[in-house]
Amino acid sequence: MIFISTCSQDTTTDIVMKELDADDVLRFNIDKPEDHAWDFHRDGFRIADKIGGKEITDQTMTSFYLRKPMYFDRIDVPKYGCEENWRREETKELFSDFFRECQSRGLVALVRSQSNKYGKLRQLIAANNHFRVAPWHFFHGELPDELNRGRWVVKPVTGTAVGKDKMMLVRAVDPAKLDLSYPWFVQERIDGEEEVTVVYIDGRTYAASAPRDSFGGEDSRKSLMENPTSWPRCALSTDEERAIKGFMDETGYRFGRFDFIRKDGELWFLELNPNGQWAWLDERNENGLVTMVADAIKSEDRAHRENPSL
Amino acid sequence: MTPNEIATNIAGLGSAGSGNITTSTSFTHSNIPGGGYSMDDANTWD
Repeated sequence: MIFISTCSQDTTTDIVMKELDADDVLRFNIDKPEDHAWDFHRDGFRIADKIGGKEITDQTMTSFYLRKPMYFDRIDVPKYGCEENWRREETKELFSDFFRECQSRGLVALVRSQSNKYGKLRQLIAANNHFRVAPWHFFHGELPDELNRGRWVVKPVTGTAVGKDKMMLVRAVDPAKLDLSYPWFVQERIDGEEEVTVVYIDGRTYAASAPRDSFGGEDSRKSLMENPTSWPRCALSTDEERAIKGFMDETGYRFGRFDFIRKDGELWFLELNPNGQWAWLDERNENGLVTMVADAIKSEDRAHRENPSL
Repeated sequence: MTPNEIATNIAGLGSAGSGNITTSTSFTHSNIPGGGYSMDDANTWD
């Protein structure tokens, strides 16, 4: 049985589960503890889905597919803590440790641990070996001289909220006006023809694109939130496929969703989301993306069943 | 400029079409890259 660790709001899991054998999957929503019971002990474990009437144990689990075990309903945590935050942190750590244990036993499917994580800085350094990369700076305290020329956009390193309903999305900025007492990440603006996103699935790719002018050259998420549209599938050249595989081989990831800008026929690297959302690209599975991902999970799961180690 | 002055106010951004980023149970914002404002970046590993 495949164990999926996620949250109740993860539509990508809703969609991929349709392509998996539902009877052979247990979905754990970390934000719905009332729907679950669990017991990890020295002889094994049992996790129950009280709503669906299913359970998974050390005897029946064959794979762990990590999705999004996170909490969307944020709470105000008092300075000295509170019960709800305690509950969340205890649960999160237990299931994180369970994931690491499953990884050490070779039981994770598609998404590996981030023990050798490539964050934004490492990605940009590695990308230099495979793609065009626009100049960038992570800086604080003093304005780098290069930022006095050209056009730049500011980007976030994390998804941390700045305030109530306020997120740092990609925005054009004059670096000279930035308050240097904060840490900043800026990159030279790329005026390309289209934005290209590529889902990499263990050696296979699924690419889609949208014209750059459809969202004004800034964060594509903003315009898509305002006016949801789907991105049509597009082709990649042999060289582009080779570059993508080279990046994944170098970083060690087997799954992820790239963001690029295509300019004058070349891919300019923006970032890789190693466990991001992807099902929105083919919500009804009309182009087979969901099947590609589900098949990759099932393929690894078959291998786990043939070599049980739990 | 400070982060607060540059950040985007996302309240209401998801009200068009199926992009309601604040819907907590139905998660109707699947058309959004990242499935919402923070799902891509959230560190759900370690």
